[in-house]
Amino acid sequence: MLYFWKTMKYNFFLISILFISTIWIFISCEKDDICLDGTPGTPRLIIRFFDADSMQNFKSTGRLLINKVEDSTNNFIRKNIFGTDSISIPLNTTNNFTQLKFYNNWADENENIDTLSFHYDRYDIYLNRACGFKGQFIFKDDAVSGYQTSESWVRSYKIIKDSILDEKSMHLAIYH
Amino acid sequence: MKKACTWQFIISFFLSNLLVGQLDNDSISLKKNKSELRLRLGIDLFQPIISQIDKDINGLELVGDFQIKENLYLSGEIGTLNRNQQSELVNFKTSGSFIKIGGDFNMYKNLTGMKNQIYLGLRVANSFYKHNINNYVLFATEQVWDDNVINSGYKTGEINDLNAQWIEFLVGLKVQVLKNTYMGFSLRLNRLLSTNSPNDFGILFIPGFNRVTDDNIFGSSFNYTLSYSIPFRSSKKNKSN
Repeated sequence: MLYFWKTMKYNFFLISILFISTIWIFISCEKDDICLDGTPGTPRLIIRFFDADSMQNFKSTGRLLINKVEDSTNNFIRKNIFGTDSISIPLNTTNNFTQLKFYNNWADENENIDTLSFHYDRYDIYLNRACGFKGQFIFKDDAVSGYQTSESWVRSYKIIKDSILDEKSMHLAIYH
Repeated sequence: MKKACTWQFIISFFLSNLLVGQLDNDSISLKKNKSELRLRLGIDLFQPIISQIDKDINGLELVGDFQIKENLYLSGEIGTLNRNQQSELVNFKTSGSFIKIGGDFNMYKNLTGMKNQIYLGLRVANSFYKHNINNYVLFATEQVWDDNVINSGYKTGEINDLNAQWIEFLVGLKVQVLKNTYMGFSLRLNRLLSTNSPNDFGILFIPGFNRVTDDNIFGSSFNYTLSYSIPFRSSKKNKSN
């Protein structure tokens, strides 16, 4: 009986040490977390272009190129050689504004460059361990500037959604 | 699998062989004194060593146990930890202290007078700590702007008054290496019981518990201890003398 108890005891111990060390190694050497594809990140600004004369109708731009103010046209953020009525723009997260050059009819004889600035406040929210934080934006009262000159191709704008929380629909309408 | 983990495993494996080898060969003089009680105090050797090697870690852990029955020990750990770490896009510092109290059940049959242990143990643990978010990069599908590390404002800064409770299951051994001096190590499985979680940050790391993952409540830790046993006689024995 005593012998039986002794072997029981050691078997129990052996199983425990095996069990705990296996799980220990498994848990402590777990692979790094990966932020899943398709997790919505910091939303981009979605702009759609409308006709300034009949404001309900979409109107595509001419050949469109968008780049940073300090960059050459070889280094662009967006380029659409057929023109488009819908674009998305990654907003600058180190400043409270994003300044970009919009080339309408780019590389044509009637090329027209507007330097537009978008003004907003940013709020960050926590997602999870793997993805960290994402930003969300709220337009300031003067959301867009830089189109007011007589030569500019942009005539006016309208805020459709004043908070940029996702990329599901447009946030800003630009009339030209 | 991470390299560091592989090394941890290999070193643990060799050390365990070394220590178990010692168990078999030891022939320390037999002493028949059953009423002698022992309080063992020591430190975790891993923390001071890793604190020297890695400038982002600064920790200390004190351990102790007290024999209450032949094979039953009351034991615990107390410690502090400051640790800077980069977790994916977020760099943060955790600082806090922890206390673990519980018991060890010895399963190794000693020669008389020896106090070597191979044991199973259980702990209830509590940690008080704070996070400081040093900097982070926003998660975005498209990065076009340079210098996008956020170092101040927004969600950076301290998150105070965090605490966590958990239980630990452990296996370990302690072997006498010199007179009254013991070396040992233990592997621990932790199960989180409760935490208070900050509104705008997750629980990524708890001092004493270590890394917390999003999808389960289990964690793991270990320690290598060096402890000194302070012998003293029970009051019963003193009276009979």
